[in-house]
Amino acid sequence: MKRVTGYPVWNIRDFGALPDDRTLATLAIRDAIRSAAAAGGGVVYVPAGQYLTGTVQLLDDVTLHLEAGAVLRGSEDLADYSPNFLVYAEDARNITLSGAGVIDGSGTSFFPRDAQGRWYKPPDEAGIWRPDRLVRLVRCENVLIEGVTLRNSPSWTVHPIDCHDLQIRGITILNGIYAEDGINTDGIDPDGCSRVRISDCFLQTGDDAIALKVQESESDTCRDITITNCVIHSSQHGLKIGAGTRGAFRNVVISNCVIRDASSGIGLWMRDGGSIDGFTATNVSMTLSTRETVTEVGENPEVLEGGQPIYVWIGREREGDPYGTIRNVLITKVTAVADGAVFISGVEEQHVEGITLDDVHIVMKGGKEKKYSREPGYPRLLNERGDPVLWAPRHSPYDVFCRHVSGLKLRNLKLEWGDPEKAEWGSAIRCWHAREVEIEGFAGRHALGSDRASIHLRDVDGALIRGCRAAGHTDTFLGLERGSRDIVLIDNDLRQATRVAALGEGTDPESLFETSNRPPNGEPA
Amino acid sequence: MRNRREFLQAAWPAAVIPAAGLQPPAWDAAVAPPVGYPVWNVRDFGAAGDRRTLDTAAIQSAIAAASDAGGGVVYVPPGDYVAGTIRVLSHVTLHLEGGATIWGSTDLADYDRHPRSLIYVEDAENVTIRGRGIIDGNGTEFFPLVDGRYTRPPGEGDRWETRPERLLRIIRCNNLRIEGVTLRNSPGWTLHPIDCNDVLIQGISIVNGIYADDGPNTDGITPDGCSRVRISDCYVQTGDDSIVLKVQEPGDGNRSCRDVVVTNCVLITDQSALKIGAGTHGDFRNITFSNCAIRDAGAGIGIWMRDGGTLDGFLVDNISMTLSTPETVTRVGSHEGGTVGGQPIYFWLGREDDSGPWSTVRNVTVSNLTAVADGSVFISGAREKHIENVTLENVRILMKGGSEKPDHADPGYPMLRNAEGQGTVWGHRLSPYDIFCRYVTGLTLRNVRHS
Repeated sequence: MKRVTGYPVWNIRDFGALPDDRTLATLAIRDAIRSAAAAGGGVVYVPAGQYLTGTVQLLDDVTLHLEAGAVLRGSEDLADYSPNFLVYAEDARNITLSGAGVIDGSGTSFFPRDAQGRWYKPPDEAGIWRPDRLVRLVRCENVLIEGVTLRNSPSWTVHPIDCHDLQIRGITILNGIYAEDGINTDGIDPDGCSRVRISDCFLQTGDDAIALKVQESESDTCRDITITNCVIHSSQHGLKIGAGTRGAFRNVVISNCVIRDASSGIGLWMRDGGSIDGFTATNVSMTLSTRETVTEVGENPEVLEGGQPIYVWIGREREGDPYGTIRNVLITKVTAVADGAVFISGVEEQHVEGITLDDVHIVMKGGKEKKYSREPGYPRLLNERGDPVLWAPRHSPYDVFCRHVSGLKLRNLKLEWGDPEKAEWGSAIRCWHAREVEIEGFAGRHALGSDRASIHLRDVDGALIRGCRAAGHTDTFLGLERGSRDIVLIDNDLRQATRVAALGEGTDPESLFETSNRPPNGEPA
Repeated sequence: MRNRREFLQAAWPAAVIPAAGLQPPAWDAAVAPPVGYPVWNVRDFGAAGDRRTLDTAAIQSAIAAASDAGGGVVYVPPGDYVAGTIRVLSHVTLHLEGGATIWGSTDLADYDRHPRSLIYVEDAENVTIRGRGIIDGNGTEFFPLVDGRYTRPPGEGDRWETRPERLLRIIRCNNLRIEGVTLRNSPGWTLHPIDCNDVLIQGISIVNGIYADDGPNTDGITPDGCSRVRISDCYVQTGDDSIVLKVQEPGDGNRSCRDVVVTNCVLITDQSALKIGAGTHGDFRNITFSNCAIRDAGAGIGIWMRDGGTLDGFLVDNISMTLSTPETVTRVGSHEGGTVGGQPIYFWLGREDDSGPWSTVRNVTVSNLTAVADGSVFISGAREKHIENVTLENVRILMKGGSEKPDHADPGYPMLRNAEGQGTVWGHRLSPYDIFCRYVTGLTLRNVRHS
């Protein structure tokens, strides 16, 4: 029989699935997948049409292919889920989700609504009230998710745990973005995974879009992860490590992404011990400004503010827990229009070590929320009600704020203030309790009308400030206080500043060394 | 240029062109119901897929049938197919279903030409190999086991008589696509496209052993004199270089490797992860490597210009690597053949012998790189021939030192002969523990941190 034949597929219609969006297709899909697996592998084909289904388990060497026009919609009855995920696989090899079809989690049917019609999470005592993940993969190897649209997830969308050799390419995730319709709907959360390549995706999520974790994982590392060419709309973080950081994060590289709306664009949250060593992100453009959000959010108090382009911190859940570490971080070629700017905060016991920001250009517009600008809080410290201040991007100050950092390099940083400019925004750059600081090629100044210096150093041991240019209307360029020492100011154009430096309390004049600077107008050269 | 209507008339039979407007026809009773996507199924051509029968002829005749029809998909359903050399022809897609494995025969007589390879393409266009299946070279069946480790056969000459040298060897193919498949346990280099133009390699996994265990000389992807090459989203684990560009033979003297982009790959290797050379008998131009994570390599980014030829225009951006012995995937201990974690950046220019031509290396930029490694940076031109215009920017290296004693006080030159008259090619293990730059003109180190 040497002739052309049809590409063999296991068509779920042949197993009794009906495209009526009413009859449960769970068993038909299960049988099709089991048949394919029993044949050694193959394609389970979901033709155009709407199919209602409970849990679908993927098996070795099987491709679940959703044709364009095909929708697998999650049942609204929790009894149809076992285990409590729409799509799952465990200890499987070589599994594939592909095609131009849709997997719809029916998320809107599970969340309770408040009087305004917004989703909310019921209290813990409510028990299980929604499917736990749209796609959950545990200990799988060689996984490909390609082309499909995953939408309306009731929870995290794709959660691979302890998976290795994982590719996610060209998929679309469409969840609601805001409290109305998508809270807690993370996009892709690799958890203790390695050898992960993510590319060409569009992710719209009501929580973090891509978050690397070591949380439910039984391993202690999440590593060798490459992410490129993604478009992200998110209510929370665009690209994030943590929270859920029990382990080590190594060799994570990100490039060519655009981010909208996120409360932080690039976030590193070390909360549970663990370590980050080797993180690079480059070529990222973001619009995180409340005034330009995708959804009109009006005065809704639940809606997060547009956020911080870069948000890095070390904290801990409880007194006595170990602190995590953050080392060797490069964030380069970033443009952002945002409510906030940059927040990098280690703790006294554990500095952030070795972080470079290069070619970062931020237009900071300010938000409507009052920020803790004068004495920025520490994420995870308890507030007056005893709750952790977890959602700190909203409370982080309106500037480039770096605290408890060793080996900080801010290169070619440009910070522009939005209009109207508010004096309360204060300094453009503040470094507190830092060691080995280099600021090179900075362009900008303090907010107009503020009595703060453009660059403010408090308790900084060793700083090189070079090749910067004071923008027009600069009052004081550099402010030093509380024992800052070994500060070198060299090759800066300070012509448009009123004065070079203000030395505050506890600062020895000998601690500042100036040379080759172009002096302010009216001062002798 | 034809207008759209003319184009449609050419593409569709006249009967289905609507009288007015350009809407495609709706399906109706007069039109046959849909049938399956047409494929040439190797089972229909007698392939057994039982892991015993030699299925070479069956697979080859399916390919011939597709080719005779002008092109099409040759479908390999789930099963275990043992084969010798298979030649893929123009306009043919070899599609391996998930669960399908083509196993390389362990009998060398089943491979029909030198150099032996399992999949072979020559003078073709528009060839695709794709799917979720596996091509397994049975490499461990060919490598002698010495002290529990697979090694290269002793005295292996230029014509390797004891093993197939390539898993896939593709010569002069325009428009080559390799997508999604797993290439595994290669007995030699894994994917070797030679003089190919317009090459797309996307989302494949290459899983060979790492040196000390089971994968000597199993380079991953080796574009050799190729141009317009795009490599993305791959996972490459090899016992030799992962992705390496070459002009291995001088050919007519006009061979070159150019317009190559590599991005979003995870590379685990015993030798170099991203490399140019050795085998530099032509020019290398417009090459970018970006957004990759690297583990274990002897050299993370390597330039080995040895045989003349010019490298001009090479950008490396956004790479994070761990090349530290205590953190290697495979514990190699003090085994001589094993890696002693490596050098993040290892660039050199040398020559095989005193009369050979000098190569040229210029306009190389490495930016946004973090590394934890045994070594650091080694950039070495020669007194007679400097490396020109190298920029390292935003490079952070935490150097931990290795177990081997480097030639620190007076670092040697790669390719200089040792006492036995052999070129000291594997110099990265002996390169010094610092950022060492020698015979370089136009060197910029900007925000480079070595600690």
